[in-house]
Amino acid sequence: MKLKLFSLIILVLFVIASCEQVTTVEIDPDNTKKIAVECLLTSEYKFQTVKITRPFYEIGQLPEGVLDAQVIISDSRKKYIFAPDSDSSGLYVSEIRFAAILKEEYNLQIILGKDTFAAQSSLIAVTPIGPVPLKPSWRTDSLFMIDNAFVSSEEAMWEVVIDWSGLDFENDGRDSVKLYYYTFNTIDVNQVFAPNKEIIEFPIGAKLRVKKYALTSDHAKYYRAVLSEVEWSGGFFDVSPANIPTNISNDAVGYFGACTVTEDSILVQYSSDKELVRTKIR
Amino acid sequence: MVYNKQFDFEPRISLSLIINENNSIKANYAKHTQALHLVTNSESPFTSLDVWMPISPNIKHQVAHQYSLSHFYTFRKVPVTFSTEVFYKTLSNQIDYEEHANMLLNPNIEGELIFGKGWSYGLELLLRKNSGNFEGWIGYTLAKAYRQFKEINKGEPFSASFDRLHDFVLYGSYNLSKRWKISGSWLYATGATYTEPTGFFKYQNYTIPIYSEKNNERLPDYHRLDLMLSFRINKRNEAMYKHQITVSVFNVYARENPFNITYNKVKKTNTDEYEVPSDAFSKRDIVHTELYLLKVVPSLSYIFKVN
Repeated sequence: MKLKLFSLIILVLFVIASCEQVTTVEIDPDNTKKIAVECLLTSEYKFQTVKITRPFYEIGQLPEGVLDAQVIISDSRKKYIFAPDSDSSGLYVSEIRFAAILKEEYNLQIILGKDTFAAQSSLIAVTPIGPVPLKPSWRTDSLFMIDNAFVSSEEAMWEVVIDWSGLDFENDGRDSVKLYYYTFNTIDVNQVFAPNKEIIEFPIGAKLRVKKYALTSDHAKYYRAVLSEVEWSGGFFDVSPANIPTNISNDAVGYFGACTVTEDSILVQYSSDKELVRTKIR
Repeated sequence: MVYNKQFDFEPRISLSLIINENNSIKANYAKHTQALHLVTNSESPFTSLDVWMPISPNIKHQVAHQYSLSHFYTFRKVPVTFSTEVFYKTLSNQIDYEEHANMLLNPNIEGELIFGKGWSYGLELLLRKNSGNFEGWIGYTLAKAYRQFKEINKGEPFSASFDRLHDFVLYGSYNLSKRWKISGSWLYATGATYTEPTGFFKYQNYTIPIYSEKNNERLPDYHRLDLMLSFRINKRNEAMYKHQITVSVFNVYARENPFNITYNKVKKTNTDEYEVPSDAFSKRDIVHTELYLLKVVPSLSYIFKVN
C-alpha cells in the first residue's frame, strides 16, 4: 500500500514537473521495406479482405495503396482469389464469401512484379465473450466508458464499435467509434505506465457491437509489439524501440493473421431502478 | 549449497614517472570483473524498475579491460593542477534484451537476454583548483562508446545509449565569509542517442514505426546551470554538531532538455496536451512530440552532521 502511494506521488510529481510539446523531426527514409500487409482472416462467413500499402516516410501522410498485385489465400482444400476493390486503393477482396476454419493452415501469397511475399497462419478456438465491462463517466452518470477489464482464458483482441447515431450527444462531430482492447498473458513496464489515451464516452441508448478475436501465441506477440510501439510508447517508462515482428517473407511488414471470432451486440440502458442494463440486440 | 561458481582474477598494473616537480606521467592497465548485471529494458531516465541480476550458469561475469595514459601538470605559482588522460576500454559479457522482451514478472527472464560486447575510448581534460576561497574545476571529455550484439542492429556495432561525444563541466565555489558559500555548475553534453524511425506503415489505423538502425539519432544537446547558496549555522567550524542550510536552484535558465521523442500522439481538443488516439475510425493527425522534465526546480535543504 505504502509502495503504491509512493509510486503514485512520484508519478504525480513527474507529471507536474514535466511537459510535452510538438517538435519537428526530419525522417531519414529507408525504403528497404517493400510493402505493408494487413490481413485478418476470420471464421465469419464473408468476403475476406487483404490490404496492401506502401510504407510512408512522413508522419500523418496517407499510405499509397498497391494496385497491381495478385493475391491468393489457400488452404488444404481450395484456393481463394482476391481482386482489387475499385473503391479503396490497396484493398483486395475475395471473389467469394468464405470462413476460415479451425485445424486448417492458411497460406497467403502476394505476387507483385518479380517479388513474391508469403505467409502462413492458423486459428485457435475462441471462448464466449462474457459481459462487456462498462463503467460510468466521472463527469455525469448519463455517460459511460468501456472499462479496459476484458477477461479471456485465451489471448484475445476485442473490437468494440459504439454507435450513438440518432441520440442527442456530441463528441467531436462523430456518431460512432471503433476501439480495440487486448488480453495478453504478459504485462509490460510501459503498459503499466502507458501515456494518456483518448477517453471515449458514450450516452445511455448507445449500441455496442463487440467482437472477440482469439489470438495464437505469435499473433498475440505481434499485437503486443504493436501496442508497445504505438499505445504504450511516449510515457515515462518506455522500452527500447524495435521493429514489429512479421510472419510475411521478403522484406514486407505487417501480419497475416487468422482468428475465430465471436460477436455480441448490446444496447446500453438504465432499468427503472437506475441499474445499468445491457440488452442484447440482433 | 553452492548454486553457481565462477572464478576470475583482476590484475592491475600502474606505472608512474615523475619527470620533475611539476610534471608526471602515469600508465595504467586494469582488468575489472563484476558479478552483477543491470537488467532493464526501459529507455526511461528513472531507474525504479531496474533489476540487478547476479551471474548464473547462463550469465557470465562482466569483464572490462581498461588501458589509460595520463599526464599531470602542477602550476608553480597558483594551486592549480591540469591533467590529461587518454583511455581505451573493452567490455565483454554485456547484456541486452531480445526485441520486445518480456521483462516484467517473467520467471524465465534469462531466456530474454542476449550477450555481446562493447568498447569505448576518449580523452579527458581537467583543470582544477583545490584550495583558497575560490575552488573549482573545468572538465572536458571527448569520448565514444559502442555496443555490438549479434541479434541487434543486424549484428553491426551501434552507439551505446550513454554515448556522449562531448561532455563539459564547469564548477566553481566561493566562500563569501566563514559561514556563507556560493557555488554553481554548468553542464553541457551531446544529446543522448535514440532510435528514430525511418518509415511508418498502417495497420488497423495504427501508425507503426519502422526502424533501420539502433540509436541512429540524437536528442538535442543537454545543458543546464545549477546554483547553490549555503549557510553554516554554527559559528565555530570545529563544533561537534554541525548544522547547515542550503538553498539551490536546479536548471536556472529553464532549459527544456527532452528525454524522449514520440510518434504516436494527437493534440487533445481545446487543450495544449497530447494523448494517444483510441478511435480506429479517426482521421486526426499524429504529431511528433518531445517530453522533458524538471525545468526550474528550487530546493531548500537542512544538513545535520556529527563530527
